[in-house]
Amino acid sequence: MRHGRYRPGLWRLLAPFGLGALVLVVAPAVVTAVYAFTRYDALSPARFVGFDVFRDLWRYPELHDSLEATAWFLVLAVPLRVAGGLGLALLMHRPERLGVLGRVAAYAPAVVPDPATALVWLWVVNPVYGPVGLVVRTVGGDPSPVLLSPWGARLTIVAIAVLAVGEGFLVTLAARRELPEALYDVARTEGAGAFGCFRRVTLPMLAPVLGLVAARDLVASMQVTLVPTLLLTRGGPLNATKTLPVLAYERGFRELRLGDAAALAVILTLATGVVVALQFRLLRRWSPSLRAD
Amino acid sequence: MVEGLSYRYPRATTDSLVDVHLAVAPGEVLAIVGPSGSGKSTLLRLLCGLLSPASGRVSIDGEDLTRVAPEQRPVAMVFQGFALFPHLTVRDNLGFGLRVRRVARSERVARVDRVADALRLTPLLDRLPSQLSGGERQRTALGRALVRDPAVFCLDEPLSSLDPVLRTAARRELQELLRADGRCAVYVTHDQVEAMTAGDQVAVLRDGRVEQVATPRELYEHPATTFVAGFVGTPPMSLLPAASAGPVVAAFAVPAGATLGVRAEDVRLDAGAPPVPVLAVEDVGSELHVVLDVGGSPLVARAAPGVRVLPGDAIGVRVPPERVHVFDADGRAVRLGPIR
Repeated sequence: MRHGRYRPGLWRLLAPFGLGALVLVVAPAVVTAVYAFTRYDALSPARFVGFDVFRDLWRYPELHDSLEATAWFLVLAVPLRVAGGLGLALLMHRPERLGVLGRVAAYAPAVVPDPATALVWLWVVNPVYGPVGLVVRTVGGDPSPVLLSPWGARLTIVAIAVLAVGEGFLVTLAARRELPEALYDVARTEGAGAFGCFRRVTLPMLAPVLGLVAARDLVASMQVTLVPTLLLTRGGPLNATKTLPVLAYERGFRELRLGDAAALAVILTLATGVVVALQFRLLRRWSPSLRAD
Repeated sequence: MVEGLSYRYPRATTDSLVDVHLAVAPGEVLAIVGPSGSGKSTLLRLLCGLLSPASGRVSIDGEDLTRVAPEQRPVAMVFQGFALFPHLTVRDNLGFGLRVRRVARSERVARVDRVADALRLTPLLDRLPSQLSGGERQRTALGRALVRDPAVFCLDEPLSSLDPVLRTAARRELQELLRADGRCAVYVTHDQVEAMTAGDQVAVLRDGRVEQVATPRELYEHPATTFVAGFVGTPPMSLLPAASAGPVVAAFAVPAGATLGVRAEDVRLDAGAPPVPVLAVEDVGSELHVVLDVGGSPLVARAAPGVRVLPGDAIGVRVPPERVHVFDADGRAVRLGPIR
């Protein structure tokens, strides 16, 4: 009842954000969902065709390749990103170890703009003058162009994503610092070694946070591939890196098949929902601390 | 048994513990009391092996444990705030050490059940720590230490995280348990009442040094230093410079720069004595603590609750000279005159 008095003020405060969300998120989402059922090239008026767009997308192999590329990226990048953030956090949670510089170095790749990172990697994996080629030549091998093999290209995109673990690292670091040292004292007096402490204290105590980081990473990973992929591989070779956002970009902005692009965006959203739901189910089964209250 | 133990934390400029000697007799409870920063917790951590000393020895039953890993020492610790694992049930908390040590499942279950039964935790075994009351958490923490069947029990402020209402009951229960158990225990607390009631022997620690080790009675009646005198007792002993104590408090013969100590119950109200101004009156219910101004130093006197005194009054008091404690210029007790 007392809340009633605050309501009007609350709404006034929320209005700018509400307006922004409406204009920039909700409205485009609705428009996209509508366009998904049309054929539209931005020149002639959109034509409503029902589920035809989805049916056509499903009929040709490009969507299947794209789903496969996306799935591989998620399967490789998300666990590596979560584990990488956790590893860095555990390495640096004591202030005397590596210190501020270490933390900055760990976080820095996350704030470098995507195109810059992509260009650096273009040099890194270049067989003629990049360090990868150099190393391969010194050990007597014959460097092949990494980006021209499907797995080389995929792993390069994964590597870019894995190095930029900034947020996951920060969140995990903060969570680790919150864990009471006394728990580790108990574990040590009870006979747990370094690995025992990690397995029986750190991991279960951080499980909820790691779950959250993983969920956030899943959502982000569905989308982050766009810029590096466009700059490095354009989705190739043989569609190996043509993840859903890359495919949507290609259809929408190169081929002006905006209906297709909208339908792919809808598929991307649904896929994200499914994957996150699946992840939470798995997490609940593994972590008893999430089941409690 | 601890001999000549010293420790300095990395990057600290002073030692946390300096040449500490302490011994616990079999079946006894040694209470260690001191203000925060006096090195109590450091001492416990050295005992259970979480820290290793710069010099000195830790031994139990004649066996040198100084370089033995924590889990191989027959020492169990109840940590401040209990440090229960929030993600584990009471059962798993109790069995944590056995599980880490890979004790067979059947034996683990049997030992956990036995301890749970002894501590009335059986109906709570499947609860998480967040679903327990303060007292239940305390019993779980005790149980986790007991499951190991240690020779020595270390307790770090076991009551400090309980609310005051629970604390008295929990204190009594803890003492009963320690006594019935018959194990050596080292009980660390900053609360002198807790130390006096829990310990067979009480060690008073200050700045990493042992000021005095004695039975609670001895500690109260014959404090070895002004620090102990001012720390133990409710209210603590009043300490006055001998030079300004004047006619009210006088001892037989006093060394230069001495301090005189007086217990509140030794101050007699006496209408015939020279009057002294009253600074404050604290009514604690069962009695009054009357704070008097003796030559600029406070002297606390105990009075019956019926006595009518107000701040600003002046009342006559005297202290029998044989009840006055004398400390030399370094704060150490000087035994003068007849020893009671």
